[in-house]
Amino acid sequence: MNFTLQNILREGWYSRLNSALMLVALTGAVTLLTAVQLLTAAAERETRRVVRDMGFNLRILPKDTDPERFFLEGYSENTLPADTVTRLAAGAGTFITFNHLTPVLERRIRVGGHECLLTGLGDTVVGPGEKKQPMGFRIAPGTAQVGSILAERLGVKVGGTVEVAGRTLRVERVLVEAGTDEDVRLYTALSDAQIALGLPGRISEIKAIDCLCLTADQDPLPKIREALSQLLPEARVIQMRALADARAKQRQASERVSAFAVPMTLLVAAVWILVLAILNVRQRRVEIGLWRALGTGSSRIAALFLGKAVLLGGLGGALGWAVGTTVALRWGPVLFPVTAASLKMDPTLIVPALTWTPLFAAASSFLPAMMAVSQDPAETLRADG
Amino acid sequence: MDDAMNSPLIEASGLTRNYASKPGVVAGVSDVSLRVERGEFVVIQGASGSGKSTLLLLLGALLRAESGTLRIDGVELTRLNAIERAGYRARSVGFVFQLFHLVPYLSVHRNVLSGLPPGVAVEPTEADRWIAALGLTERRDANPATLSAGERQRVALARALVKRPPLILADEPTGNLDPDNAARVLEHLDHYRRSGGTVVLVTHGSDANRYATQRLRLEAGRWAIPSAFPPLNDSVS
Repeated sequence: MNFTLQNILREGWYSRLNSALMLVALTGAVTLLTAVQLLTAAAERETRRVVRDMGFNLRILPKDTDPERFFLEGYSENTLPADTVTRLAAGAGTFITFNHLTPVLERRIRVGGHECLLTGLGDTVVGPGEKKQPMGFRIAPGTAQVGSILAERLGVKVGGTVEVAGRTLRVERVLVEAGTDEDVRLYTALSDAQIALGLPGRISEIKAIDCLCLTADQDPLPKIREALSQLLPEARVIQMRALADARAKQRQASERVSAFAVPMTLLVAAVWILVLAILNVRQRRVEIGLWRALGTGSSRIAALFLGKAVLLGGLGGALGWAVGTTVALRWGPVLFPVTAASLKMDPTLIVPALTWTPLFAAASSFLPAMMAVSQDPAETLRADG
Repeated sequence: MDDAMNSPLIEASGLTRNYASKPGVVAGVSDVSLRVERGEFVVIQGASGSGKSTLLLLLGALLRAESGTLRIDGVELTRLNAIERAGYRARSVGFVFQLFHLVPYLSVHRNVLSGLPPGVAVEPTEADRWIAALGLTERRDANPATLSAGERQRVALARALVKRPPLILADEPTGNLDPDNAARVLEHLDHYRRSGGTVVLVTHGSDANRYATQRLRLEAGRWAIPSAFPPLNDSVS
């Protein structure tokens, strides 16, 4: 074995406390970074899922919709052809800006003597290659889902029926109280709503989610409108800003956490290693002077210190990856219960852990190594006079 | 080659090296000249702070003279750069220090091996031969922390001798030893001198006087008596 490597290993064992503390710093840093990496990805998935469950934040309406009427009624009185959604989905770059395209037909109607909002939902279209579950409800033709207040007024329960414009629909689900207009809605399949309303092949809007993922200080609406004007000139878009902002802020919050945690972790680890390496150099002043007296060159002396850092870096990288992965897999599901199943070990992280950690350790030890090299041996070796 | 072997091992002239300290500039050595023939045992005496360690470190190329010339074994040290001086130390000088300065994490055997210049191959038994010669065979694999002071100094001596350098520089080598161990170390140095080596030893004591072929005294960085370069004499006491 190489003499320098032997000396590094022997010194590392001899200075066990110093070596162990350096290893703890490196392992701790890589543990945090691995865990942060895995948990940030989990937080991202969780955020997407939670925000997705908050509902659509874009409403694509016929261009001639009267905004006053739209907001007073809660839906557009104008319609678009039902195939508009497939045309939009086929447009170049649609899914850069929009996702979860869901055709909807809405009208106010009377059911069983009570006024309600009839909402016919078509199948959701997602981007190519995406495996995301459709948003909202997928309602089979001939069935209905009833808002809580409406269900109470109609006296219907799951398994019962409702009459809609002469058609009998089976109640598949009574929705829990939402505290919104959902409580007085009657959800049906789009085709059932089209028949009931006498509007075959028509929709009143396409609901969607903005997926531009801009930062908090950026307003996505101009970009969304620009994209839609090219993809679907006959339509206009309304952004439900509160929902969109909540989504953006949630995502940005998790990004800020990683943006803070990663450099802070690196800084703390670097300072820790620097201090330990300086202490190691101070502790070994006489030894360094002795190597000098024996004619050992600067490069070999620097190699004693940098080599130790690199070896501990490799070990710390491997240990940190293992511990960080264990921590993320053990506590990640507690932090992110909705997407717990998607938290998995990422073997690709071992590569940067094993390459960057030794480099990081060597960089942190560089200054102390240079101190060792430039130390005047006469100061430490002289007896007196 | 013969000329080189017949020329003095050390020729120093007008060596000066000062130190900066809080009270101001303190003289290490000032205008010191020295001539040492091959096979000499030079004892340099002086009180603490007289400059004797400074002179030794100059001879070992661990310090650079501010002025003067210093030729050792045909090499002008004052003209060497740091790498060349390291090479000179590795090849030509063996150091023995008062505080032994063994590498704490290496065994006795490995400490002795550490005295070899990087990349220089010697018989694997060479280190063991010196370990045996200095009575350390039983302690070959021991850690320095478990050795007595006398044993540590003998390990340091073996480390200095293993590469068979032309010059041994010893800085108070018996300063931390009891009389028996001090005598033993001096005997080994004298044996090395008799086998053709040269020893320069600095001390504030008188233990080494009986081995000296040349005795000098430094006071405040200068020779107490101008150096007369007395002739080689085995029986100086």
